[in-house]
Amino acid sequence: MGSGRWSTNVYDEHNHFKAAAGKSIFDYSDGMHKSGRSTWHVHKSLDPKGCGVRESRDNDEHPESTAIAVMFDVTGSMGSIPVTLQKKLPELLGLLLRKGYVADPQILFGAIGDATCDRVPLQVGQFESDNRMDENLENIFLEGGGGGQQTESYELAMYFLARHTDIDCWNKRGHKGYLFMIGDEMAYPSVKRHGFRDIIEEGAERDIPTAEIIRELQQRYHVFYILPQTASNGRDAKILGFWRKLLGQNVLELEDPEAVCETIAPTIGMMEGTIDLYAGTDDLREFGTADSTLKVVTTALENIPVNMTKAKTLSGFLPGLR
Amino acid sequence: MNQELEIIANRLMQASTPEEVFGEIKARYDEMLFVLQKNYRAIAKIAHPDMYHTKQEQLLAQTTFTLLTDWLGKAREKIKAGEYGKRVDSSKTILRTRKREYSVEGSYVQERIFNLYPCSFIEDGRVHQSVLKIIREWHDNNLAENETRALRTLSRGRDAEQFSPYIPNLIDAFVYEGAGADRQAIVLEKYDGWYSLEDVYKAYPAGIDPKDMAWMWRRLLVALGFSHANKILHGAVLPRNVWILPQEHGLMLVNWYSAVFDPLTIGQRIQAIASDDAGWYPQEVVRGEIPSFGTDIHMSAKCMVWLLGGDPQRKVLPESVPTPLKAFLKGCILPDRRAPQNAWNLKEEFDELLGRLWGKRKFHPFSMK
Repeated sequence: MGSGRWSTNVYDEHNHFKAAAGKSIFDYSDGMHKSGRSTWHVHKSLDPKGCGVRESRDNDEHPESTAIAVMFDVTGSMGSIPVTLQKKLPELLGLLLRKGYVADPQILFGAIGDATCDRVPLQVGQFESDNRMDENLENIFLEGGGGGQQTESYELAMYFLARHTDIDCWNKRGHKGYLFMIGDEMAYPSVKRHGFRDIIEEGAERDIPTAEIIRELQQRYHVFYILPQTASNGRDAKILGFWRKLLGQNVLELEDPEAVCETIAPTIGMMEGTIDLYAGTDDLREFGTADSTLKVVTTALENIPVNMTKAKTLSGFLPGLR
Repeated sequence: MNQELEIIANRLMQASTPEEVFGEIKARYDEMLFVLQKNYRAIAKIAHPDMYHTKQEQLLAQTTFTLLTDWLGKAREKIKAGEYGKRVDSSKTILRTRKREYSVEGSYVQERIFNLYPCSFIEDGRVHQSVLKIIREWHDNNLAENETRALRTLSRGRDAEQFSPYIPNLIDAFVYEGAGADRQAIVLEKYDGWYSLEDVYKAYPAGIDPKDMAWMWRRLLVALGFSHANKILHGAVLPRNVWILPQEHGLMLVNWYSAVFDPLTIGQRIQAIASDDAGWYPQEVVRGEIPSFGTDIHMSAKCMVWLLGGDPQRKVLPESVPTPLKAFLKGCILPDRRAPQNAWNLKEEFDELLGRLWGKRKFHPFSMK
């Protein structure tokens, strides 16, 4: 997977085509909601059950692939935000490419629900580098469930990425991929040994504490949590504290969900060392980002842990490394 | 778009040294800052946002002006350190991180996991010598991340002000891209005049005086008490990772790459136990059990037995070591969960023993001969 040439207007054409056919880009979700709850199920392209691994591979077209996963909470507390995300996220790839933030991005979209009560608690697409990623995004079912106890199954999504993805950027170059989770609730304290048989079709060897699965995931991915301020729990200090404790500065507060791509893209650029804070801020201004959002994003960018960012070699090279 | 502004903006964005921005300054040392200010003002006139009326120009000027202020700061630092305008040694590698620029020498020391390069940077008007550690094999990047995380947590943690001299000073950490891979890199302060316990052993192969072992272990227990109070297990208390400063009785615990955060809650194992180090660890931990804070204490006691000229594996100590001290040390080298778990309490107990053995504590001079 992960192959295909990207043309920035493929999405638009695809969208036009759909509009002409009288369908919205939220086709799958709209259609499903019209049927009864008992029939709700994950679209087969996003079903994590028995899928083995999702792969991000280098190839001739994309010799230096970078795996980027974006997964968002689709439970009720998020309100209309998932709809906004489904609409805005197709712009991410184009933005990354246009600005040269990262060489060969391969993006996986997915959605997170609540494994204790939702019909469709985990949806995971493939790493794609062309408009197939948009099809994945369209196929995400916005269930709008959740349990109302401020916890959703983020740990399950992290478990999936930690154990069921195979990414060349890490395998071949020690270059970490990215995970951005967008949501407004806490994770459950552990990945339950028997809790997800029906979802991923296997049991872990034991209950794995969420903190441990994060550590495991962080060996191969930079993990970020984005908390939209307009979500039900967007300004809840408890939620912010929960993620800060687990991810430190990698928690970004997002004022306006419309600016999701403009938050993710420069963050990747900064991590990749392709832009510095000035250039990042400049780009944001150019996108016409609102001042309040600009401030939030700049603060977040300032706080990206330095040990994760690349140093720029101005001259020379270091001997002794192969 | 104003052409002058565009030229200045480009120059500032592409510059890699303050000399490229402000040019050569031919003046006596005490007049250099004055000349710099003059050169700065000439550029600031063009870069100031107030000079422009279109939105586009104002935005560019704003970015340019911020950059200019930044370069001014760097130029001042360099002048104060007497480094402005000096030729850059082409044998050195220059790395720029989000914090600052480092000049790295090519002569390196190869350790098991890291290469160590001498490096320096300019700050507060002087040149700082430091050490750049880079992971040798990128598969081990997580070990460097571990070290960075542990040192950062400790340097900001509980009682850090009091006990930070017991750990190396973390200056920077970043990813170095070169030779086809991304490698984690760490910049630490450079410490001169320190010796590892391996060096001490080489200087005293028949064993050190138990009174010297006493101050070393007390301080090592302080370092562990500080670390454990912040929920961090060092995970590699080996003779090569414990450094002392002989005259001052200073002690530092280095190489935190095996550190485990909150082992009993999170349940993480110690990564990277080299087979030739295995004997220093409690056997349960080598077999893959979850370590406890007792792991560090167990290992610290083994180091002490070794320094006294004994055999930590067989728990045998030379005749010259007082019997109560022998018993005390053996009582710490127990299977992991039965080893003492609290370094602070153990230090108290040890102090009581020292009082019983030798009475009131006196400074016991130590040198590396």
